Amino acid sequence: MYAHILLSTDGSDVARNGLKHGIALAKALNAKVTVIAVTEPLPIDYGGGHAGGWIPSQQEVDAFDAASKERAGKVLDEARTMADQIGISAKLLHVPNAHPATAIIQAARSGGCDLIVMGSHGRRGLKKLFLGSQTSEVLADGSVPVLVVH
Amino acid sequence: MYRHILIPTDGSKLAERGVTHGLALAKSLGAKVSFIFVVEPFAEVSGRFLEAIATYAELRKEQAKSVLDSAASSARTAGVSCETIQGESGQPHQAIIAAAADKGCDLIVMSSHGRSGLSALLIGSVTNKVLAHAKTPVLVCP
Repeated sequence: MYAHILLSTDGSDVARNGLKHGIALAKALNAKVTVIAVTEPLPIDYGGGHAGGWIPSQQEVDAFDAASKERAGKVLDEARTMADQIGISAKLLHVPNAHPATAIIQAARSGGCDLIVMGSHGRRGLKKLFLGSQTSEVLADGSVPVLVVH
Repeated sequence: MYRHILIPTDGSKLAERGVTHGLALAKSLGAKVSFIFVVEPFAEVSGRFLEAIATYAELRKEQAKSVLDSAASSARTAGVSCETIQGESGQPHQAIIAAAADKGCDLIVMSSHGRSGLSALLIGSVTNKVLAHAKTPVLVCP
């Protein structure tokens, strides 16, 4: 049915449910798995008018990049452990400084994934009420089927 | 993995894609399927439109039956065990979610749009509401 499933995670509880679910599905269908974690860029405030902005120094940028890498590494390690427990191997992918929905769609296209599994919302969002913004965007793109797990 | 997949359809071309997709998934997992078609009733109106509305309601019910029959025959061809549900509700998403709970379905497969909606731009309203309110996983196919 599906040959290559892309699982997206941001380390949140709902994303963890999605991971668990996606790994089980991949196992049942004998599909290849890629787990993607996207971290967003450091916001830069150039200021406007009399308001002073904040432009990070190179040092601050480097520290942020290192922290993003560490965070994604932790999240992906956890995904690897979950996959190991079920007995499947997963490719791990960290995309830094990117808009999550865009990076997820791109990864699905370039990896030739035929299904994306993601949580109904991630770290942010009014729980149980609405669909997360990144999930909505991936759904609206409409190039790959999306399995939304709550 | 999944034992019972609920597949809503409204007879539109896009919804048919959801039917095909869900059926293929059910077949590869050895799951059972239920197809559901929810007819939206018109709000109560009086006067000279009553007859036209009654005719429309009849037509929609006939369409629901024929769409469900054809989905059931696709399932038979694929060798997937299936049930059909014909519902009537002003809020199709509620009828879909209720059917999923009632039948103990562990997945809902539906297309991103049905009969109405700006194709390719946004996600359909019924699909969106099912996504927001369902407790079961929802697979949306484009």
